[in-house]
Amino acid sequence: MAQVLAGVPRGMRRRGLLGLAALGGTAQAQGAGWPTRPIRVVVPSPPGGPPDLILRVIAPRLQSLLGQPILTENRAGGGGLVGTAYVARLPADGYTWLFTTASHVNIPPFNDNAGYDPVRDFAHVTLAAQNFGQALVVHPALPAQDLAGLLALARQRPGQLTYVNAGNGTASHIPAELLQAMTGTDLLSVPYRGVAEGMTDLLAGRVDLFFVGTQIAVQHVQEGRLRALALTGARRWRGLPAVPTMAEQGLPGFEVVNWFGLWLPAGAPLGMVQQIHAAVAQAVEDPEVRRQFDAQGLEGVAMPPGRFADFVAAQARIAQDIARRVGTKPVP
Amino acid sequence: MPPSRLSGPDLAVGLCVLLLGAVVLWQATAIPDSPIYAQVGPKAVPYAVGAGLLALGAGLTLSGLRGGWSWTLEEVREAPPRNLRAFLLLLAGLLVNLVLIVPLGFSLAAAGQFVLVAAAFGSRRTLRDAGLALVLCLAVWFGFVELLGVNIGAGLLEEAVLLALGQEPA
Amino acid sequence: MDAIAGLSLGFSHALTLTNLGWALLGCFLGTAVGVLPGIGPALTIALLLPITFQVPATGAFILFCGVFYGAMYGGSTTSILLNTPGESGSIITALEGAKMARSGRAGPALATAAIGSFVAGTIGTLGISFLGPVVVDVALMLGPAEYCALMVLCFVTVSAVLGGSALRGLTSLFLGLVLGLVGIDLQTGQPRLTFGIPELLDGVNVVLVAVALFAVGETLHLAWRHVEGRQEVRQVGRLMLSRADLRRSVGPWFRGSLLGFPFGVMPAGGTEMPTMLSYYAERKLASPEAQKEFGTTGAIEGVAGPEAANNAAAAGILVPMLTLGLPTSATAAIMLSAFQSYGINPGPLLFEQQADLVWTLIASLYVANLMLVVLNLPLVGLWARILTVPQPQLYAGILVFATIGTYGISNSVTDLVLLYGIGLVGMLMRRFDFPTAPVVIGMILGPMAEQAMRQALTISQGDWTVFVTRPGSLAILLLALAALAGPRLYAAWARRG
Repeated sequence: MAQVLAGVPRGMRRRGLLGLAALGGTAQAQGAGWPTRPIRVVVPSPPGGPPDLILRVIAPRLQSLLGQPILTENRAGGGGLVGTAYVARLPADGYTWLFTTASHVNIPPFNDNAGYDPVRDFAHVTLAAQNFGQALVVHPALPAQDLAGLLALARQRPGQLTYVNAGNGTASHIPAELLQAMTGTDLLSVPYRGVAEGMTDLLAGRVDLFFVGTQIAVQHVQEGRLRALALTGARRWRGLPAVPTMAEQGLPGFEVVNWFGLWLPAGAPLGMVQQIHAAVAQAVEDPEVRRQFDAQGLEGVAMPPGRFADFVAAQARIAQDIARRVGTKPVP
Repeated sequence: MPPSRLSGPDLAVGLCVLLLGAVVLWQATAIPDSPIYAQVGPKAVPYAVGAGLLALGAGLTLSGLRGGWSWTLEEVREAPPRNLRAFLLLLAGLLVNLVLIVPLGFSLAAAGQFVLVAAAFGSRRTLRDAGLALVLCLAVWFGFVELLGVNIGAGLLEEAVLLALGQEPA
Repeated sequence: MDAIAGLSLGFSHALTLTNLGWALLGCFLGTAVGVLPGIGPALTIALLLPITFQVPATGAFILFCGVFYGAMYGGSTTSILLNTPGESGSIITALEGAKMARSGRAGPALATAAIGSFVAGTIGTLGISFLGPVVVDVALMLGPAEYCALMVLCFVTVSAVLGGSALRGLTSLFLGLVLGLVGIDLQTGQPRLTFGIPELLDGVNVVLVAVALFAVGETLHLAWRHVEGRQEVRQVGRLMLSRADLRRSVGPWFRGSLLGFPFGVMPAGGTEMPTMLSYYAERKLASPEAQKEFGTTGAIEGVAGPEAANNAAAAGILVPMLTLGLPTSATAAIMLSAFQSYGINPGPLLFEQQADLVWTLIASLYVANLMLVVLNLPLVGLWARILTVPQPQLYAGILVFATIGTYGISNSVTDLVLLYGIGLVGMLMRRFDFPTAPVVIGMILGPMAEQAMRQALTISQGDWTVFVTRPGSLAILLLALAALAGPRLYAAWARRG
């Protein structure tokens, strides 16, 4: 197989993660000090999932910037709990990192024994990338042209408008809960195993609304099979320029985007954290990385460590509030 | 002819199924009542499955008390005598892998398993097996890491070989 | 553009030397990863994604399609030879396939799987070319109520694998239902039967259970009854299909393909249900002599049908991806993100906006399918020779293989404990004559049925009549009733007449 691959453009092998040449050459050129051996990045979701794919885009750059091979280790389980809790218990020597999504803060409040504290158990390195939020889409038969219309409808029929919930704490669930909390409305959650199943029922009109990824929604909206009422990000998205944000429609402060961040176990030295942040900041400026992010509806951010720590703490509080609200909802 | 007295092993199987049913029912009661709107709650199906297992377990237990079903099985009647040595060697192989895969890494643990399992099935050339297994497992590990970017538990051996290779850049 | 014009355009692009090269590379990689434990097409395509930096879209998608179809061909190989299915769609193939291999008919089993994959791939690709948008509209009409009814229909198929005693067979089925319950309840987020172990929150992997019961359990049982000094030498036997094999395979190939494709198109269909239904149908339709081979020496119908169903369903999965932009499998999800790296959003407008690309992709599916059958038939002899490895090394190898498939992706010792623990249970089941297939069927169908039932009831706000007032659901339930009661009524009628 090696020979076949040799005929393939380099980009395909770039990932071939040991990049044996890099191991010998650059590592020694860097001299003493961290890092002196390969770095493991734990991704607590299966290979091929969104964080894994994003890491695969930036890892080759980090590898050349830090001069050590970067090995991805996928430890899926419990919606990310297993791999994250695993990293939390490791020594903060800089050789094991955690790369994951907003589920880092969103999943623990929905579980009694999550196994880690998203704020206290980690050194917060950087928010690497984020998307433009979800699109709130409805079936065209629903008599709501904008957010106000939808809210009016929800007040008329409390507890009867159904929304697709593709998993507690996921990007389809959090904005729906936030909307209910901010407007005092009551929507009915219908759980789905994944986005595709939920989208099918929405297209067929069996459920009423769905906070779905903009990329999945865009063609259906253009073709009129679905109506987009709002975006959950802070800014409009160029793919659906006519669709206003939630904040524009009278819900200031409503901002839910999916983001991807990097952590070390708590107690990692500040210098190391800053060195990794600087490398990520340089990596997301790479034109090829930017092009790749752009096509996937993402933007590189590289938020500085201090701000990222505050951001994680704030996001964790929002998720806890939502979990508490869901948990105290009376049984109908 | 069915034996007239009870069959110990078959009875034990029946009791195990009863026990499993009881565990499922017990665990079902431990599922918290959900505050989220649900027509059929999270407990309904576990209760049904637990109850079904109890019924099936009762049937098997009853059968065990009446002589069981093993005597009807041709395979059991004609089976060669049990081979405790082979079985324990194999179990040891599985155990070795479980215990060693984290501290020593995939290649060493899997090679240990390979040698013990081969010995269980009567292989006497332990050294040859060990050599074969090590080469095979290391090759698999490298294939997975280098071509697929999938890391199956790197350990001592893998890192040593990596370092050895790293000294002479390709 | 109509389908014929589209296809001729597509073939004119697909048949260039470069694109044929991409297809060949894809087929080769796909076959290889299909055989590797734990590595499927989704992961492979994910690993190949970075080439979207360098290669034009057509080349990349031809490569991906080759991998996708190639993995389907390779997937059955380990099921048949080692009794270690690599994906849930080939679990049913292992039932008869592994038995055929054990009785010296590995060659015909592999050959019927390869040709069956070709037939299914061709029918599936024809379906994509000519029926795509139409079947998708039909598939959209199926809601949770219909899916629930479909799963009730599939439960009927358990009767084909219950074995000698209904009591023991049903116990196996319930064991599978218990395993299926483990994990987070989707509807409420509550953990069930997880005993506080976080690794169990995602549930138990069905492929892991199948490998544990089929391969690990079997190996343990063999060791338990091992006679020192006696070496079984396995016969490889004839490699190609005999005339009789061919006659017996043709029907199952076509029936399996026609059954599988619509399931693939259904957004919540998947590859498992059609393989079960195909197995059931072939077992019921087989001639009396062939019936005797089912579950004993291995019947070729039981390989040909489910394998075709699996592959046709996998091909069908491309339909909702291309026409609706809905990824209904992990592989489709990765292909979707590949489209996005080229700035293309699949969806209803794809066939108009990217006609060139889509039709080239479809044409390359035909090409890949043909390449694969040419590539795979000669491999049959090579694969079958694996069985001539001496018994000690063969079984040691099988266990290492199972370990890689389990540990390689998750790096989780808990998964290994499950693999070996369930393997021990499998050995006991073997000793006490409990069939293992119902465990897997219960595990797959149980959670899907529960989920669909509760979704349907939530949407209907608690109205149970939804299952009989929706015509689709009612029709499927009646079909299930007929499948269950029909044979008995027919037998009674035949006795009287």
